[in-house]
Amino acid sequence: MHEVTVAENIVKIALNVMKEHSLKKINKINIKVGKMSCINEESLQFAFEILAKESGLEDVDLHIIRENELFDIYVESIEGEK
Amino acid sequence: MKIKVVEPVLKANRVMAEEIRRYLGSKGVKLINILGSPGAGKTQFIKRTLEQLENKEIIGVIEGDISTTFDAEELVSLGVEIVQINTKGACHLDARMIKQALEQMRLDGKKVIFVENVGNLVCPAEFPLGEDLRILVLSLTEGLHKPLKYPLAFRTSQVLILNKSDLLPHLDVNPSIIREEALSINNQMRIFQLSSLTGEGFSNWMDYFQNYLSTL
Repeated sequence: MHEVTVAENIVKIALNVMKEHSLKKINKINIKVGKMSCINEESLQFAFEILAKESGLEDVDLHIIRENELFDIYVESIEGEK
Repeated sequence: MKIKVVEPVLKANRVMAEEIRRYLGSKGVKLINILGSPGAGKTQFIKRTLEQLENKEIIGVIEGDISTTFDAEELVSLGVEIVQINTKGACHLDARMIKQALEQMRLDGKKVIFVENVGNLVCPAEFPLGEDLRILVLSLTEGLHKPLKYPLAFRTSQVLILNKSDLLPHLDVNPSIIREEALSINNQMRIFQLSSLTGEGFSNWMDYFQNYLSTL
């Protein structure tokens, strides 16, 4: 139910990384989600798509990797172009 | 190019929760986060706990609800200080809301602040508030297998209250199955089966809580 909060934070982290590394474009964001985290992937994708577009991030692939032992959600890596 | 990030998505909340924990620690105050579904009996559990305490003035309560102040009103007669948070739709409390609520609470002379979270077994589990102890209130009327359905809430709580034990004769629920499932998710969990309405089983919990208070 808090997918929008999660999506907002992913966008924030992505924008920071973009600035820090002077990226022109972000192509892919890899996030890891623990199996105990009650995140609905479809809702997260939906919220992310809207919020990313609003922040000027177009055509970004949000790749969700499910991890077994974790109950954390974190941005693992970001792929982009300088 | 690929940039390694490894940053928790909910880091901002966690950082603030840690700040709250340290700030309260410096004042000698501990926060207890109470989670559970809507109707699990969180308010009644807090109410009876307060009723049975002689030195109520050491306790403060932060009431989290999406809207309304019914729960806070329920506790007003006990004479403890209460701050109400209305989340206006948000499904959980976060550390920022607690920080604001704490600005309205007198901390001098307090030892424990109970936070009654928004009724929800999913989202609050993911948002630490700076608590020293997390208590999960589950009513026996909610049926079996909740620990396996909502594992994060069970994994991150240290105490499980199996509430509404007075209704057991009317239910097709075996509490020992819930216990086993809860322990399979979190084998450190302290479990108390009780009724906040009739008070049965409450003394075991109060012994635990008095002992907790005596260590502060």
